[in-house]
Amino acid sequence: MRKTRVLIVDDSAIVRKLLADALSGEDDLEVVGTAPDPFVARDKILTLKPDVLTLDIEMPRMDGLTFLKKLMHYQPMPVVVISSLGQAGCQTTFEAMRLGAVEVLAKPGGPYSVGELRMDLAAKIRAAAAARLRKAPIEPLVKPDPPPPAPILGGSTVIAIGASTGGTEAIQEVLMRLPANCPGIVVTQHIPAVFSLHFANRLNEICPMEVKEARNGDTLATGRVLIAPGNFHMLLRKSASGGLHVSVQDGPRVCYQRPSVDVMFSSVAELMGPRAVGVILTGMGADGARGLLKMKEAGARTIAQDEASCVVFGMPKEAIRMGAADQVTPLTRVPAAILSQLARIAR
Amino acid sequence: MELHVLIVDDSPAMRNFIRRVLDLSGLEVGLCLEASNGEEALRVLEDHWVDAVLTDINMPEMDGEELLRQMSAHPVLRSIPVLVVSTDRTEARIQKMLTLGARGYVTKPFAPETLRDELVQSLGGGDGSN
Repeated sequence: MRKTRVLIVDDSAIVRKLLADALSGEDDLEVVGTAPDPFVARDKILTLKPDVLTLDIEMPRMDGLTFLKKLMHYQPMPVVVISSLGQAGCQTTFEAMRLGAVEVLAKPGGPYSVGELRMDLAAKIRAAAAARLRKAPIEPLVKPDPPPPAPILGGSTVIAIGASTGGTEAIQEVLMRLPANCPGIVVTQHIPAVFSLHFANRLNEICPMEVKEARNGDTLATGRVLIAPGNFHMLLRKSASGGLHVSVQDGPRVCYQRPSVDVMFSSVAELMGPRAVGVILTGMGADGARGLLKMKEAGARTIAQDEASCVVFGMPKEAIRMGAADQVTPLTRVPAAILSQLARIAR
Repeated sequence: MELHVLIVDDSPAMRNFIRRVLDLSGLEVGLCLEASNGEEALRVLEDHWVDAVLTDINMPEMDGEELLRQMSAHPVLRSIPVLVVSTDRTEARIQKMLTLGARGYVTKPFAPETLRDELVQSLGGGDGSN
């Protein structure tokens, strides 16, 4: 089998070594080179022809975003962003995802241990290598017109959305096009801790609904989206008052993931039965497929993103294979599909 | 690190001269591409990832001013540093080119060191255009 060729771009010699060491035990991955800045990186990209790049986006001499724009123009390839957890780092990271980077990992050191790095880096690189590159939208984001209101539903209904590789952009596409009066939504995206907070805040600025990183006990209601925080599972729970809230908790990884989509979907299946819509979006692996099947078996409506619009057709593929998806649809039609499923529940 | 550059001038002799100056400058020059006017330059830039553009102003078809304008309006090309190399030493012209986004301006005839220093300086400024 041909190995996936990886080029590491980072201004810190220590981080370059940490990343290379973390990959040294992987038989299917090969670090073909490292570069301390974008200029050397450009040379090595042209000569070494790597399959995947890890990119520190805060570097001297040329900023990482400018480099990424040029890379995506001249030599498009999957990029795993390695970012610090600072405010600026998080913002730059989401801009990088918009420009076409497909995965993000926290820079080793600080709260993020080398052990966790070893566990996550190889998986992120494999996911990136499997990614289908989108034509990067270089122009600034344009907010779509506000969508028409959702059907009025008696009683509580919940929408549950799960995603991984390519999911930050896909979730944004969906949430931007759902109306402010939409039933409560729970979202699990595989994303490192801290980034989830920035992800939620960013969505909150551009989406009609209120979007918030979930804290333990947060209530779910019409017009509100709760995003699972990185490194914790999020489960739907019924409150004593009869309302809904989420439980945010530690626990073993499920399908190598925490947060896990399966864990969230399963809780929704148990609690909501038919009064729910489950949506599985782009992502590597199989997390969420079983949970979506549980939702379907409990009577919920289920939607899977189609192959052509996925960055990685993994999780939806597995869901479709298991028979968990009522409907398979391109990303652009997912919001409409959700609304029409809600209308069916309302009838 | 190798420097990849594009030299834009309608005079082959001048392109050759600039290339020689760069070769002897001590800079490590990798790809050294050439174009004889702005239009050709844009075509080259579509496909080639260069670190800097050195351009004349007065050229047939598309001149250096329009090249700068088009590069500044392009989402990717606007971050490539442009150094103007021209015989025009009027203050108004220099100001205009700098306003349009040029990172530096060298008047012909120039000393080899001047070209090298201006080029290095225009590379170092990072990218403020984002």
